[in-house]
Amino acid sequence: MDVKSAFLNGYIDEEVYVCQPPGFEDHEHPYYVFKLKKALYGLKQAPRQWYERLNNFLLSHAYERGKTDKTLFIKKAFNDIILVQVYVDDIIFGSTNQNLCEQFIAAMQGEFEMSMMGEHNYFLGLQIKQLNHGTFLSQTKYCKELLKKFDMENCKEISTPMATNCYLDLDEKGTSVDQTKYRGLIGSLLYLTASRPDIMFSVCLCAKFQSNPKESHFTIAKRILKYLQGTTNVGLWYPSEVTLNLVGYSDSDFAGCKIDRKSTSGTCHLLGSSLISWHSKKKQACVALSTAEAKYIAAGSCCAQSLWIKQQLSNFGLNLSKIPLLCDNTSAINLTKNPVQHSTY
Amino acid sequence: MHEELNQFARNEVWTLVPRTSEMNVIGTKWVFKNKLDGQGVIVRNKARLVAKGYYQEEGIDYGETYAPIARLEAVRLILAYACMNWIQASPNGCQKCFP
Repeated sequence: MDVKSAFLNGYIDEEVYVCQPPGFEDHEHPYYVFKLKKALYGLKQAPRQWYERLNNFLLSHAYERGKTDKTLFIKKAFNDIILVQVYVDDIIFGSTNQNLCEQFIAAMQGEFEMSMMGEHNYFLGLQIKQLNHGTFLSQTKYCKELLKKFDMENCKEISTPMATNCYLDLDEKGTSVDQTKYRGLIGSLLYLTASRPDIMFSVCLCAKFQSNPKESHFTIAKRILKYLQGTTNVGLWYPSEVTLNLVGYSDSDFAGCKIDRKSTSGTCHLLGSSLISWHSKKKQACVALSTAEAKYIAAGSCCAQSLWIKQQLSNFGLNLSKIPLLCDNTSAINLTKNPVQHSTY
Repeated sequence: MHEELNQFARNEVWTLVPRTSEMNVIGTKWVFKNKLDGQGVIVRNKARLVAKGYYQEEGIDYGETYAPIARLEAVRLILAYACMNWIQASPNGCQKCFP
């Protein structure tokens, strides 16, 4: 659900004065100004004040705040639990008990003006379809609008987002393209990666050339759109099974970047058989000297992510004792077991 | 526009005070948006009054501005977790999804 005019709810600490709205000046005092008690859209402090207000409201209703994630609120009652995840003014919540949900809705409606979403289940542009044996996440509508926006709605389909032998470089001699349009395309595609791990790598690769886009980069980016044309209804499937175990996978591409010889890490995490998080085309911050080193760095960032998910799950009331982390390089695995060797690498 | 101003009144957003010289008064303007339905037909004309935040000066008009925002991973995690535990997670209020 969604809070109406959320920012108008935040109390303001500072003294802020605004002009009277154009066209609606007070007849008796046309030169008076308004002193704000609550925040207004466009003010720098508005989002913070809104979060503060919602936070205080939920805490006063015996909700606990997540230990690492400050936008997660939890309330436990006997064996039941309600989880509330806040994304500015969009709120998603779930509970093991219908009553807890109803209580939450009633409390929220008593305090703020709320709007429940319509027939379609949307959250942040993600289409959420709940079925008997699982949940399906997709961005079909957004994807179609994206194709329309860039005049590609009638383009030919292509089966892959990028050619395997595709090496992009700065291409300094190439003809420049409109930077605004290129950035707009990359931005829209990046948002689409919220439910599309398949295009993550190619989008991130194109995103590296945003500061000086050339014709060659634009062609590659448009190829992604062609791929999307054939796969608009692809999404993530979260089956409702009972095995709850978290597995982290990591891999790396040694010296994958032709410009500065840095390696690339890729990681992903599966909870049961649902894909939770993924990183692809994450350029490592330092130059690795060997494949083992590159894999070790990838495993490191995978571990960090595992720890975050573990913390989040423990907030949900699920404590995992073992989280396997998979890596395909023996030297890198040995390296993790023996920290003495760190100095040699 | 009246709808928006009514909302201001209901939420008690502001009070009218006389202007003095030491106030840093921030301008306001209206932003209009036509809301479309699925077929692209205008269903509602929406007006939103916004403050020109770019006239604000740090330390005088505002202090801290940081606000936490959920990670997308967190949203996916909660959905996946809810699905496995027969929790009814729904942005659309409470629907009985897993009977």
